[in-house]
Formats: sequence, C-alpha cells, structure tokens
Amino acid sequence: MYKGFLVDRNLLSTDPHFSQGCGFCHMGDEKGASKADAHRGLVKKPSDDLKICGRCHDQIAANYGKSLHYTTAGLKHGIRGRLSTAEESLFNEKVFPKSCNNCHATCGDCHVKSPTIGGVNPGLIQQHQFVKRNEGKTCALCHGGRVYPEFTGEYGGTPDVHYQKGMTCIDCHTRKEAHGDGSTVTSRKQVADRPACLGCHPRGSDKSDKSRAAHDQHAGKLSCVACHAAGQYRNCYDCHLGAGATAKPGFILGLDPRERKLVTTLRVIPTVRDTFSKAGVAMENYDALPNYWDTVPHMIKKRTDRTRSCEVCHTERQGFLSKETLLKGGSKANEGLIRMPPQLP
Amino acid sequence: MPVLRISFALLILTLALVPVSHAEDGLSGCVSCHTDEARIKALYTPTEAPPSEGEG
Repeated sequence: MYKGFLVDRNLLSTDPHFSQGCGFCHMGDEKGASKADAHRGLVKKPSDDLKICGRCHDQIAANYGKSLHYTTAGLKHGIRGRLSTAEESLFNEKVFPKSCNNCHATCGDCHVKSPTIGGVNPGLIQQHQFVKRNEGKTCALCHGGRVYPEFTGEYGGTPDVHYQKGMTCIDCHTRKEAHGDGSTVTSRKQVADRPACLGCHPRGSDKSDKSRAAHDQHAGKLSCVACHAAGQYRNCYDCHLGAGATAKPGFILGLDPRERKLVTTLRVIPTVRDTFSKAGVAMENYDALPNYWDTVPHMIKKRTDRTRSCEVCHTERQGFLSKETLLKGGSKANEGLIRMPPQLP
Repeated sequence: MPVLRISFALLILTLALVPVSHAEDGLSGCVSCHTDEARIKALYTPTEAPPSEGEG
C-alpha cells in the first residue's frame, strides 16, 4: 500500500500541475524536518474545494459542483419522501452531511488518488499523474459494493457482455454525465443524455425474426434488463446509521416504482424503519415509498433464462414479486409493485 | 568600488529571497520523501480497516 503514496519524480518537470510546488494545493510545511512537521496543516484532498481545480478548469469545476457525484443529492432525494418537514430539517442537519454527503467524490478521487472506502485508502492512481480515466481504481471503489463487481463478474456470475467486449464505465457513462452539465439535478433519472440501451440498440435492429417478435410483444411492458439481466444481483438489507447493511443475492421483478408502467428489475433498498433512529429521525412517512427501487443490474447478456423460454415468466413466474415474497415488516407501498405476467394459455 | 558594493548588496538580497532548500538534493521535503521508495515504505503506516461491506 505504501506505493500508493509514491510520486513519480519525472512528473515534476513535465506536468504543469506541479509547477507551483506541492504546497500550492496541499498546504502543509514543505520545509518540515519530520513527517509530522511536514504534514502539519496538510490538506489531504485539495479538490474538496472545487476552487483549487477551478482556477484552471473553471467550467468543469462549476458544472461538477452541481453534479450528483459531488452533491450526492440523489441519496437525499431517495429518502426525502419518507420524512416529515421537521424531520427533513433534522436529516439535512444531522445525517446528510456526516453520512450520505461524506461519500461525495472530489476531482482528485477520480483523477489523482483512489477514493477512501471503508477507511482504506489505496493511494495514488498512478504516482500522482493526473489521469483522465482509470475506472478500475476509481469508479470500482465507490461503486464496488454492487455495480462494478456485477459488471466484471466478480460475484461469480459471468461478466456483463459489454465488459467482455472491452467496454468500461466511461464508454456508456460519459464525461458529461460524470462531471455534470451545470444543471441542478436531484436524481440520476434527471440527468440529460444518460445512457440507454436503445441508444446503441435501437428498435428494429434485431438480427432474427424471433428476437423481433419477442421485442415487439413486450415493448412498453418490460424494461430491457427485465429479460437481459443475467442472474442474481446484490441486494442490501437492514441498514442502520453507523453500522451499515447486510447484503445477499437475489433477482426481483416488479413494477418500476417511479412510473408504475413497466415491469423491471428491482433492488431492495436497505432503509428500514429505524435506520436513522439514532439521529432522532423516525421517518414519519416511511410507508409513502416502497423498499424496492428500479435498478439496472450491470450483468447484461443477450441470452438469459427469460429470453430462452416463455415459461420462466409466464408459467413459473420466476423472480416476480408476490405477497409471499415481499419483505416482512416492509413499507406498505411495496404491494403496489406487484405485477404478475399473464399465464400462457 | 561602488559597483562592487552594489554587486555585493544584490548578492545578499538574492540569497535572502531564494527559498531555503529543505533537502540535501535541493528538493522540497515533500518531494524528497514522496519520491524515495525506501523512505515512504519506512514511514507508511497501514490503515486499520473496519469490517464493513461496500455499498454502491
């Protein structure tokens, strides 16, 4: 791990980022005789203050300040509907800054040094080189609980077909999406031009009649991932402030809780009734939102159990949310997500 | 003689304004440690990771 703190000396003379010396960004005492002296007043993550990068990259920094990676507003948005007005103020004051917003990504987390996860700091991405992208050392860490290991197959399933073809995160989730475009958004669903399957695989591009028939039959009723997510993905349960959640694999199909039109893959949200009780937030409107959100498991395959056989859904109803499989003691809104496929004649 | 005095004064002024180099090799303390693998290895303190599962 110590290698993560080693700087490439050659960069000092070739990269303009170093022209003003280390202290320009990191403060500290460049003349300090010991580690303790040199690190006194050290700013470990200078880009926590976007103005530092904004001196040269002003537009990107301004946009980034409004992006979800920086504001983590999506996390607040996800919980807001469960809170009364008084609770929301308490949440914003006591919980959000210390918990959710603590996870925000700075410029440096993606371009210089891998983000600290669970107290572990893997260190510099490439000896303090300012890198454009290195998903395995950046995205993979913050999104390493669910999405990234699903994508690479580290959970034991086969890797996502896009990963197998050599694609990584930024090939779909573009720089514009990561940096933001200057709009204030509260959810990833509001991000303009976010990736969509149909962007690369438009309707009518099927290579076989069978595929075309299946797509025509299910258009407007199912999301793409409802059929093309390869298998079980990770769901997190029972999260408590400061103690974390527990995870187990599962595959759940039900109505998209946002629009209630399409059947799609759902992921359990680990917020339980007493998640924030330590902070005095009881979530008076807990039952206003379900315990499942629509999700895009990053384990896409052309052929899955559901694309091979109609029976898997229409006879066996595998994975479909039902009264029997709903979370025990969960939100009253969960029942509204149950949608069974019609039985085959 | 005045030329010599002025030159001497300029020399003193220049030396006073040039930042004192921390390390023997003329590099700042930050650079001399963070580019020296043996030194960083000796100074590095491993983090104690709390048991937790990743989110995201």
